[in-house]
Amino acid sequence: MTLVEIKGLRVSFRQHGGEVEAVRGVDLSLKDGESLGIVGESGSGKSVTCLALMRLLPNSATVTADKLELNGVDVLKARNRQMAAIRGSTAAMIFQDPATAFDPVFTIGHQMVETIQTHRSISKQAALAEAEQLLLKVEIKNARDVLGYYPHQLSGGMLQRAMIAMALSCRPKVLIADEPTTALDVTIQAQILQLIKGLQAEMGMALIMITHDLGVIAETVDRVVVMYGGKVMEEGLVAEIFDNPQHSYTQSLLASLRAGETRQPETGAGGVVAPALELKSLSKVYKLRRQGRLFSRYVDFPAVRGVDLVLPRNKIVGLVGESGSGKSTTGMMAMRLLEPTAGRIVVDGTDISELGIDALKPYRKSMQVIFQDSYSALDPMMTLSQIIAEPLDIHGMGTSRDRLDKALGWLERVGLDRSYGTRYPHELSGGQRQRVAIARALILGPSVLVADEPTSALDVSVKAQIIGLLKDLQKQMGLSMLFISHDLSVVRSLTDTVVVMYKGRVVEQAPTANIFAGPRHPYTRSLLDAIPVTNPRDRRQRTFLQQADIERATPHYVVAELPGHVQPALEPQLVTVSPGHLVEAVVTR
Amino acid sequence: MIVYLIKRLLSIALTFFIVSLVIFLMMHAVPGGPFTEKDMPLSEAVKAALNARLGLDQPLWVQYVNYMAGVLQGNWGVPYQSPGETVISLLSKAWLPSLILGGSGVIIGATLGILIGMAAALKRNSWIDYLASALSVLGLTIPVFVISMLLILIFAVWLNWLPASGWGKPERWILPIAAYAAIPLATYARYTRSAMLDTLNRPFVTALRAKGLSERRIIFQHVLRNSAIPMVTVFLPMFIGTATGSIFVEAMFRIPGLGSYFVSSIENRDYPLEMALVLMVTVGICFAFLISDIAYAWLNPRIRLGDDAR
Repeated sequence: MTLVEIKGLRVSFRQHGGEVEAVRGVDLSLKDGESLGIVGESGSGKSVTCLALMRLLPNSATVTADKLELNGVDVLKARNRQMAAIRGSTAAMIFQDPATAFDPVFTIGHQMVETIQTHRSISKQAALAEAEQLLLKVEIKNARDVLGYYPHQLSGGMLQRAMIAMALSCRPKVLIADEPTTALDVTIQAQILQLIKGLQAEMGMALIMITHDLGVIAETVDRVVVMYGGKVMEEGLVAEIFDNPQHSYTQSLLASLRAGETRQPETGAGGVVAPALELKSLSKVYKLRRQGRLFSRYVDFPAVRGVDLVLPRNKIVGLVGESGSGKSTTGMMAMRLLEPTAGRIVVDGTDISELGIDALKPYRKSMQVIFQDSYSALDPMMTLSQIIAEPLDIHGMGTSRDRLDKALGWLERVGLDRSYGTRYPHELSGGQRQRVAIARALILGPSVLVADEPTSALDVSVKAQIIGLLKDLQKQMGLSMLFISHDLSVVRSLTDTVVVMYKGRVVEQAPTANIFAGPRHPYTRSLLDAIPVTNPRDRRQRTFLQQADIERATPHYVVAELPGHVQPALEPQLVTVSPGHLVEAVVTR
Repeated sequence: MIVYLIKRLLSIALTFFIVSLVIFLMMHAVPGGPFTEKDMPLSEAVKAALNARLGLDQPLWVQYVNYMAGVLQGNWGVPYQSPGETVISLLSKAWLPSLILGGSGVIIGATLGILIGMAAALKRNSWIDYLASALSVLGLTIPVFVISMLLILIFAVWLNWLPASGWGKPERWILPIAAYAAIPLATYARYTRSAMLDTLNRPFVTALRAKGLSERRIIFQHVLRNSAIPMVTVFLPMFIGTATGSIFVEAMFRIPGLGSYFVSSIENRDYPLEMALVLMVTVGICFAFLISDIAYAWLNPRIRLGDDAR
């Protein structure tokens, strides 16, 4: 039976007196038990389409359609009460960021019970018992405790599981998942996707998976709709579309998905020259406040624990790890934007870890940074040329005429027109803003660039452009770049060496090709295993390692197996297993 | 929590002493004294004798130490304007009218303000919203004595519905309560509107709708509760704020409350009364903020339970 039928859907928003068309004539249908993916970048109308189906759009939206039916109900004509009854029971939704999708002032249990009692007349106790069962079903082991937790007490992955449990509580016929894993780490993403897929099969419900990531599509659904600019570009079975994309937009999406597979390691001069940046047992300890009954006490939380890292000249080193692994903290400490608790930062042979502000200033010129969120990294009150020229101003370089010329030159160099110089950041798209941030970072001609997740807020196609730009500029300027990212496909296509961090330590480090071909540390393996497949035929059931599994599976070596002189120790240490390949392991005699 | 409370109480005590010192010095810096009369001047000898009896001839710091020692023992002195009673007995007679009128003014004003603010947020950019904005701007910009005069003019003089002033019969209370209510109403209408709009724009509201909850439940259970968190912080301080409002309102409506004493104690250089009134407001404000902060933390699980409970 047809569950969802959409014909000629159009949605427009009233904005500042004008109308903005978000969806322009979309046709879609979904049968019972079917799984459908909707893929497209932000602004393609994929989320708006589903919100229109649930009638959840704000009042500023105008929705028209030849047909908009959900389980036989005409969504355009249904009464409010009728729509409320469908929502949550016939069609349930899960959202991108589970941390903001729960009401922060009520417990998980309260919110689940509320959902159950809205649609069914059962007692609070019965609803609570059912909520516990549902939490167990989504593989939350301490379900009873979690019922009493407030949303801020759970991690993103756990919250998304709870969100799924809540969505399933009334046995919906269709689950609409709106970018359910975008805000999560790679390993957690893989777990959540596998969970959704498993539950869908088990409960025989239909699934609509909205995503910008073709990898997610390849992992989860049977049929896919590709959207762009509010229109459906292409539709078909996942396997067919991956093998034989008809539309040029789909082809470019697939190309950027697979770009990561073809990076040849660069061979070049190296080795003898002093590295551009060296971190020696760098660590950062935060003091966390724990509230006791009478007194609050401070507990040490080691965010980074003795990290050694070498950034060779003219190379790109990727620093990867899940959120909370300490990778950004390490990057910020390397720049002295965050004070290290211990350790040394060596730039061009000088230890800058203890320099005062004045002594540090010349080094700031040779070390620059770009951030994830280009919007908050640019001063909204300054024009682009002022923003790009500001570093020159700070270091007192050139006359204001020279500075302006140079800034406009850099605008062109990062692929923007000179006329953009008088614009303000809010007039640009995310990708354009990131270009401005790159220009600002490079105008001083630095030798070291720290890039902290510079592409993770960007759409797929824009991401590829920014990566291309960084690659070109790195080659032209001979930059040494520390590229911090959780996106392994980007890391694979861009970097020469990969450093993997886990819980504040470096657990593995190797040339990029080696790490993808033969990861040695269990955490690296689980990280690589979690990367979504690039072809739906490669789908597989994954097994996930818990923290304890990872610690148990720490590699063991006997002294004789390893090159060089290694002291055996009980504690894991970073050892060289082959040239350039280091892994954290326990070494015994 | 206990440590936090102790810290806060210590800081209140410190505030108390600093305020008392500053006020004491300012009070005595004003020229003249309690027995300076223009029309029928007292003889110098009598004045000196009176000053000596009240200890006003001593050095300022001795006066301060003596006064504070008295205060700490619960002896707030004798008001110069009515030597037959103590400061405490005088104030305890006067506070009831102020509390009844001011308190009901705040409660009624806040309640109406919240309702108007909610209506404005839910019907954004409608005539209700514009009317609410206009009302709250008027309420916050027109001084309370002008509002009082307008109320008297409209309801007592033109319409002749209510008595213009006085104390005693409940119908005499209506206009002063309305005057007291103006500022809380305006403040709460604005606060509620912006807090509700903030909450309504948060993603969890869409998530709640997607769960199939009725709009009424979403608004009253979830949105209001989340919006209330920033709103509780202004509620109690507003009660204390009526103390200063009373200066004008009670003068306009001739109510025998605290308000008149604020002015008369300064005019007559009635040092003990002046000190008592200022310190009372100081302590009131301090405790209002303390209780508000505790209520804020209690309503907000993030603060109540700490961030790192996971």
